[in-house]
Amino acid sequence: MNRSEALRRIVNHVNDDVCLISPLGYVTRDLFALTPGLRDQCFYCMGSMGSVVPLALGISLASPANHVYAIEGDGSLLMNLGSLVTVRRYGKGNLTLFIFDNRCYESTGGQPSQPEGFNIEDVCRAAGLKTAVATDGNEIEEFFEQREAAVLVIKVALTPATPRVDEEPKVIAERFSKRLS
Amino acid sequence: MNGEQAQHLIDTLDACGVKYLITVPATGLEAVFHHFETHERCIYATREEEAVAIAAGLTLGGEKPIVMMAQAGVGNALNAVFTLADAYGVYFPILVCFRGKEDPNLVQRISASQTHVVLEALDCAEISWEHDASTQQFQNLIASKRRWIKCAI
Repeated sequence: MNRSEALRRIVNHVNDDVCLISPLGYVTRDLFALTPGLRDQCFYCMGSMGSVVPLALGISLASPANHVYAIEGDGSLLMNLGSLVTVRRYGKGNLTLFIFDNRCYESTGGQPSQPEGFNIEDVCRAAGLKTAVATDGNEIEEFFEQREAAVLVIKVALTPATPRVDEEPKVIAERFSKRLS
Repeated sequence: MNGEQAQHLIDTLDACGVKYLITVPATGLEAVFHHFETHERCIYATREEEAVAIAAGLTLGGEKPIVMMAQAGVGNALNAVFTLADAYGVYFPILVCFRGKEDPNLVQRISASQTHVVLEALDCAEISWEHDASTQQFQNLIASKRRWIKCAI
């Protein structure tokens, strides 16, 4: 599935009490391009690889009235697998993880991120998080209809990049925090 | 850190309205962890960089966290501090518990010596929990948004 199409499906399910956190690289660029009307609900990470899940956990604990959608890449998640355990331990149910799994570091040239036969969803399940897998748009819609799993691993294809985020990080953070307060 | 110093640290954090302690446990701070655990405000992270990201999220949501780490965790934390907390202007203090250059663990001696240089470069403040004035000193450091603060354990 095209990465932007998967993101679009998620964004379509964002209502007023949802906030979105995206990881550095192409996903944040795509999300920025897709969400001009949702700027204050989005935190676009442009660095700190591996930090989306714990960042989203902190936001979810501080803002129990909101539901936090953390979008992370497979390579970034592998950098901080311990965060799955921390979510299992401290998460309050208002945090959903969307793992975009393209099995490579796409923005640096497509170097492989996983060995053959390895499945990132197995790691999420081993951490005790109820995990679903989507390979097409219909399965993403099913995930939202059922709302049973805490993690959705989405198998995405390599997709051309959109332009870089051109906003100052401090502006992004200030607007996002103001919305939460 | 003896019991009196630990209590002084706890009282100071309470006086400053610090709600969450995010930490990868460091030696000698059991009383501090226990205090925050009792109030369900202690989060044990699996790595210091994760602790920084959790604290950033809590801060964005309006809470007042502190990150506490051993000196050996400073290197683990730097990327998240630089490219998340600093880059996005998300302030919370990081208290580094310093084992000192005379630590009985020979590896930690080397760590202390090297990390000391790193913390100097990061404009790290130093605080002692020996006396009442340290509470005011800590409040002043927070008010001036000083990120790095170290203390001996």
